[in-house]
Amino acid sequence: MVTFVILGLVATGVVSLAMRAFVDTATIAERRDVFADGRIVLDRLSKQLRQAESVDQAASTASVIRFSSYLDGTPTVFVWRAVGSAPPYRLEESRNGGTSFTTVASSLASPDVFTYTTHAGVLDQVTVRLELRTRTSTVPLTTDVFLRNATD
Amino acid sequence: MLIGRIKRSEEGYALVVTMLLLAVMMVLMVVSLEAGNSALRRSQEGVRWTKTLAVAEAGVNDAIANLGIDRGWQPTCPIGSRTACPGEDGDYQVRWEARSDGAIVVEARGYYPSMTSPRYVRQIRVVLEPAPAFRYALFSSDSLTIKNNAVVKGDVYSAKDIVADNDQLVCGSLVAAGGGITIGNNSRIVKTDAASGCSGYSGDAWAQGSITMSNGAVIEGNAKASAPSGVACNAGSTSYQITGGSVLGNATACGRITSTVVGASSPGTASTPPAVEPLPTFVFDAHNYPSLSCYPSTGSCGPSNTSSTAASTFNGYVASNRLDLAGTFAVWQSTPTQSTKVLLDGIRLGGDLTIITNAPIDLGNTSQVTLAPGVTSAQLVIISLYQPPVNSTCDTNGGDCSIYAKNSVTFDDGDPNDPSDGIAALLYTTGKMAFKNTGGSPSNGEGALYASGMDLKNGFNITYNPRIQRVLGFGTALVPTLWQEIDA
Repeated sequence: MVTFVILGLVATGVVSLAMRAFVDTATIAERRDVFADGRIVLDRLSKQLRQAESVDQAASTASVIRFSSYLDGTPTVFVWRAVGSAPPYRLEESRNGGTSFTTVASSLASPDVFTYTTHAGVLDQVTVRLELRTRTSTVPLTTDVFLRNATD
Repeated sequence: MLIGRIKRSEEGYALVVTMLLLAVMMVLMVVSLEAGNSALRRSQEGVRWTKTLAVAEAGVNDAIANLGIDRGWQPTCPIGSRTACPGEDGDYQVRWEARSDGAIVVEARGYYPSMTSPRYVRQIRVVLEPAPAFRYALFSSDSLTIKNNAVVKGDVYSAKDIVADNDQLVCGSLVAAGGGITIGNNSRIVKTDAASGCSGYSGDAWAQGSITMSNGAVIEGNAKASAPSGVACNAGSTSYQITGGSVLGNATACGRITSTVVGASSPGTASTPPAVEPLPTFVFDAHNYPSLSCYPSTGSCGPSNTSSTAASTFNGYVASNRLDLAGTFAVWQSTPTQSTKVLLDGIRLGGDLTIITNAPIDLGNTSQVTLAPGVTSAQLVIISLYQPPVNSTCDTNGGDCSIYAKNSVTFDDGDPNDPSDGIAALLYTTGKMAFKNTGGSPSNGEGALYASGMDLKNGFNITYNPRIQRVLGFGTALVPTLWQEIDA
């Protein structure tokens, strides 16, 4: 009897721990995947923005950016936009001037991704801020990109 | 017997179950730790990926530094070879080539952590061009006179005085760094001119001396008559004054102001005089021109290797190819004089044309520089390093000029409202330049004229075109104008 009671207590504790471990594992895996997506977005967006010649200021907002850049040396118009009516927002990319889009991230807590900075009258800096939302927290990833080919 | 065995084995049952569950927990712990490690690894990979770009950038910077010293520089670790140059966090290879338009294209490939066992490879391409050296439509190191209904669209600079004679239109600014500015009857210095499609200029006049305007003369921007440092300003002084005509912006003078001023009028007020700008210095380097045709054709190409027949031989080439002239030519004449001048009368451009010579250049009489059929735009760069003898004269009637043209020599500018078409011409000389009886509607020269001394007469209309702001040979600095990341 005593054996069964002790066994029951141990089993309950172990199962509880196991369940917690399952939850933690799932949380970590989700954070890993969300952050991985975020890093891919930042790498890709940085690469494109770094080569950009100009940002279409009339068509760009905090949630949309349209800019002329290069894709492997070929002039290309890129459009990135955060879409959705409530969190989580999706981030989409177009490499053909906005004709078609591909979803590259889907865990944004805020659609306000882009901030623009002008120096000497030239918009030559874009700050990209991704607020990545997981089940347990929201983590911002931010990068400043200087447009190497920006001209007035 | 079986029941007895079960009863005996119950004594170790809890331990077995506990060990099994602990094993399960350990597996779960390992999974959790692995998930954490995976995130760390991904973060490290991102850092390495970024470092690879920095390594490639080191290759580009290496090329820029070396090409700034020696345009004939060749990398010790060219792309495609088995040799790598060591960088801070990896290896790089680099290569470069000169484009036909004078630009230099550098490509650098970065390897992380090494070329022999690369984990990441990134490649960038950077286009380098000379730093902008030509931003004025007219530049003279000596006094500058614009006469007889000329229209200048662009800024005008003189290291001494500027005279804009009667009825001139300058859509731009006037800067006289070492003298005064005289603006004749009904001449206007404007910010915009709808009739000629000119806009975006300051319409200012700035002198280290007096600004003297005649009847009907107008300065749309600000007028500033500055005095050298140390001069005491006086609102009643006739030195460094602004007189006559109208100033629509602000007027600031070290001396008095009698002009009609719409903006703020500040007589007796000190201001900083305009900085003296040197004529851009030209340095010939044959490495700058991958398809250079040199006269003489033997020996190294440069001003130290001359020929008594260089100009005549080149003139023979021009005569044979007059209607489809293109390329880059260096003509180094022994003891150049007006009798050994380069003749460019009636040429037609089949593409970009650059002529560099130590001989005088004559653009001829009643000729037009046009484009060959099928050619919609071209850049014409004429550089004469000819120095007329001391005490010689060069004016609109000719004389010993380094660059001279008269009687309707014009440059086909295509659509006057389209700066990307037609001929953009840079005429540069360290000597003297004179133009007479040129221009006129609808022909206008687009580009810039730069000379130590300049005399323009009878309406040579010039429109500044930024296509000529960067020309090889002016300054050793190369600046990146295009940056791309391409597939390695």
